[in-house]
Amino acid sequence: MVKHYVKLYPVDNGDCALIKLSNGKTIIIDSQIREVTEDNKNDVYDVKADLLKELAKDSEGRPFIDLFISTHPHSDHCVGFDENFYHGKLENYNDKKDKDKIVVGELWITPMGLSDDIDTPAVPIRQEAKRRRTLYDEDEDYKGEYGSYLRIVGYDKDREFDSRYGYVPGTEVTKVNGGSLKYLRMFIHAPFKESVEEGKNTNKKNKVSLVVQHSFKKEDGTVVCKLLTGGDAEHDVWEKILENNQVGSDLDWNIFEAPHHCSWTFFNDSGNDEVCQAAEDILNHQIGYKADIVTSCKSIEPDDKQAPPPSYKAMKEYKKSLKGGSEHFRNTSDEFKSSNEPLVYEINDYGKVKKIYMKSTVQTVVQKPAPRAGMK
Amino acid sequence: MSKNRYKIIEGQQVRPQNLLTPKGKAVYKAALHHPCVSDLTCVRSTQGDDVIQMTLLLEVPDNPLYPIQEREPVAIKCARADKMLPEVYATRHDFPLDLPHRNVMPFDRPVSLCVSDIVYDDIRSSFNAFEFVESIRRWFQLNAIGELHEKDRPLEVFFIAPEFSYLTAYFAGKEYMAVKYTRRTPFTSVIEEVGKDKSDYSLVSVLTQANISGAIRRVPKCMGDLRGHQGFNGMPLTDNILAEVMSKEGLLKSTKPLMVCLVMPMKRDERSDFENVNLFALRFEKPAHDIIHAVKKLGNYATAYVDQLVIKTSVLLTPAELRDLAFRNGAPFEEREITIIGTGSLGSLVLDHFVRCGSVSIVNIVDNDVFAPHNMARHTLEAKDIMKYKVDALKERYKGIYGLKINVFRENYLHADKKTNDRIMTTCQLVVDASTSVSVERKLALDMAGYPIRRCSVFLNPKGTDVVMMMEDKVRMHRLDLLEMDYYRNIICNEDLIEHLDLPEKHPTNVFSCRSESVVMSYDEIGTLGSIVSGQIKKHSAADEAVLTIWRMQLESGEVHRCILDIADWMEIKQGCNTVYISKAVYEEMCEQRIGKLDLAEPVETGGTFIGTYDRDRHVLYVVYMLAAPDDSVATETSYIRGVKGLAEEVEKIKKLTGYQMMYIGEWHSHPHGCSNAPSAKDKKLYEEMSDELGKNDYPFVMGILSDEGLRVEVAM
Repeated sequence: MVKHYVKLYPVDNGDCALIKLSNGKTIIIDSQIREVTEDNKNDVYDVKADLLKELAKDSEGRPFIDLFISTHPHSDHCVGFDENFYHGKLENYNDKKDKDKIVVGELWITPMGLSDDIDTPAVPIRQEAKRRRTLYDEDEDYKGEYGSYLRIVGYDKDREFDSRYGYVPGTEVTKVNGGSLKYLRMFIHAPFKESVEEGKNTNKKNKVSLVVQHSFKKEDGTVVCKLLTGGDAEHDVWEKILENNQVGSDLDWNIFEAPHHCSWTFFNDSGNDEVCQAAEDILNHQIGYKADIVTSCKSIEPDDKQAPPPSYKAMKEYKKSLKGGSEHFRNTSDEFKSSNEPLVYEINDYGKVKKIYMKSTVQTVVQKPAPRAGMK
Repeated sequence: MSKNRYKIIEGQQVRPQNLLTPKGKAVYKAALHHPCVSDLTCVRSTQGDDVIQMTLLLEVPDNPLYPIQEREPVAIKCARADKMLPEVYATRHDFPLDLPHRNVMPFDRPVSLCVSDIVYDDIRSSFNAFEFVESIRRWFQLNAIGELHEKDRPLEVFFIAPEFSYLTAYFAGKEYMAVKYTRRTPFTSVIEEVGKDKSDYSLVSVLTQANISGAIRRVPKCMGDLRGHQGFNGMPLTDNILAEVMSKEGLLKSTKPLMVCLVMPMKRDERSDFENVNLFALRFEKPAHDIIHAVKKLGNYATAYVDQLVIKTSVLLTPAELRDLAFRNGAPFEEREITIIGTGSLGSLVLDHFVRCGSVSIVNIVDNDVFAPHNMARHTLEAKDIMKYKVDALKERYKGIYGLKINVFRENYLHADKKTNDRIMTTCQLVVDASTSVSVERKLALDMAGYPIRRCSVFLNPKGTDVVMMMEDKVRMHRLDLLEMDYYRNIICNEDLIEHLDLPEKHPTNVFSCRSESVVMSYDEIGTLGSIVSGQIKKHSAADEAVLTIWRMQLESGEVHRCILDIADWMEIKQGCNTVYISKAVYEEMCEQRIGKLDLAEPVETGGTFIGTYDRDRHVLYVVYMLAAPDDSVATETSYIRGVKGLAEEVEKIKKLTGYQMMYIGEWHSHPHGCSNAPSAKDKKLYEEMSDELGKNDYPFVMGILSDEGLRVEVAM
């Protein structure tokens, strides 16, 4: 039986998620890795320590991930990339200086992430993407290699599209870091060309968020769970996705990550309380009665007590939409408060299982009496 | 979900502080602080037991294999008597019934969960209520993904009947069998095939279609209870049994009550092949004759009659199968044939381990010894076997193991003729010599060249503290006799083995061989060493290499030490009808000594004394060890006179070390560079004198001459 994991780290208003497949393939979506100090250790989850525990090491003993997805170049999605992920030529990895830095097998970035006007924590990602792009540009036969694979997701009018490292909406991805994912199909919905242009002109980075449907499979290839992630994509992006989408099931989800940390912009980005049809349609793509909406944000307080995001109003709307009831709305911060752990889903042959962590460790004595030969 | 709707757990709601049982209080307290528990209620059942009701939050996938929900209500019943694990019930009104590890109760609901297979007495003292609640969650969660009953765990039985019957007979194509049913205990019985006049049942066999293992079904009390189960070709099991009975014309004459042997192949799930067979005996009150006539007479109205036929069900056990024995030992089942020569303490243990581990399907056992009263001290046979041939009693001992064939040869192997050898050494894969007889080992090693079967010899040292295993390599380059010589060389060279052949304090005076079975030795040690060597024979016979190993036991501390001995190559030199085997270890020492003397500023000859043994029957002489030239030896460029200083003491020491098996066997000397290894006139004279002298005492003599041409030997047997 397969056992995949989706782990959404508690990083307040920010995004950092780890996908780990049964075959060991790993994907990180965005980075919000804050430094843990003596003062904040009770409030800040040590993402880096957990990643080092979860990630395998390559043949040189360096921790690595197969794919890093940078959905958009906002601080709350890029913090800690510089300090925790290796960037530069792999042969220059210094075992002492770069100790515990995570090698990124393949990097995904949007054209917006390559533009000049980005948040400071996003700069090292841009630098690394540009370093990788140069390798392709300097050698027309270059097809990428471990530590240097690159995908720029979305058309960029300033550059000619290069199929060696370019992906556009509608692309189905089953291979990363030079190898097959086998148990995962990623379908890219956004960013669209228009959004990229608009984003560049208006500096609205949320417009160019990567929107991806992740379909997890069991051994025989049957899809057992679908996760829809959209970074900070706003309402009009989702509208465009619905307009362009050819196959309805490509938008279905068992887990939907509420965009922009449970912001109201998913429901309506023109400043009023009306729920737009596109949001309703996306929420109607939930599968069955056990689908979950997850949000990576602070604990949600009423809007008059807390400046959104997260939006209390949005939370209520999400809860209302869930066929299985409001308990299927989950928040990374609340999970952390109750268990000291991230929000984790195990995905096995029978679908997703939301893991429940308890603060005390239980040893099942009932199952393990003192071992003696001759017992049943 | 309304509560208290099931009699077994219903009662009056009470305050937690009013719970009566320590278990009930502990479960309540643990549940109260458990993050996955809600809707906690306490009830005093009508029997006065505590019942703690709660809803458990579970980790269940979206599409579970069994319809288990994310929240399941349960009731935990803690009895005042505290003699069993608290009972756990799933109380949801539509909770699935066909789940693995559900207890079979007289009622279907609430569904009783088997949360632990462990005997309560074993965990009572360490019972932890929090962990108990966790084990209930685990039960649900693993069942939800089909992993509660592990893939490598044997399938659950279809019914758990209150009685187990041992069926000693096989149908083997019979229409039915006349059997005698005998109760042995209140819950066990034996069913044996007997003559019709002595029988009390007529037994027929009925095969069903493969059923899927899962929930254990309630034991049927009448034929109607079987109607819900699947028989052959999709027909209900009741009709399946009836059709089979009706088809046996012979049963019409039977006046004995009917007994049905239900043969039910079981499979893990729809897609898998059948894994094992469940057997049940259904005992009817009426003879088949009556049933058949009634059914014929009632025609279409027979169903009601058949359904009310009373049956008593027992689980049928059949003789153990070798394959099952192997499985239970975690060993591969091997269809192989071995021969064991000698069925004394060690031989019987080796046989026992091979059989019980399912490591052999055909065993030839050879021994002409009788099981005497004193053998009880160290043997697998029992008092009832005294005065029987050991081989016969051993065959009887393993009778009833399905798939095992034991061929007995009541004879002394030393006198075994070609016919016997053809039977025991042609088709087997290994001959194990556990005879403790050097003669048997030599016969196997040297006289049976026509049988290319690998040989192995195992024996205990005189004190019974060490067991020795010598196993030939697959192509028999290291024959048993050569391994035996290597063994002695190791005893001489290896300080760890100084006491190996010491005699016990109490021993018979008439000891001719180091491996003679001594009278006083501990079965504690022999039992342990026998088990070790049995396992090692199995292990090493699967590989190609020769083995020479000693396992030593310290009874005081219980430690066992393994001593891997050196195995050397051997030179074979023929001289007339005699063959001299010289260990290459000895030859290399000789060459080294000669070169050392030739490299001196004034080169001289050198020599030494050969230690070894001989086998006059087979005209074989073994040179196992060499003593260097004593200090008082006189050597010139062209002569060597061996000295005597300390030599007699050295030879005596070796004799003692080796249990008087190794002895002075001859001499060697070197010739200078450029000389041949042909004996000189003086050499010839010496040889004649020495061989005459030793011959007077019936000892052989071997003389070796080492030159640039190599080694030449002269031998007088």
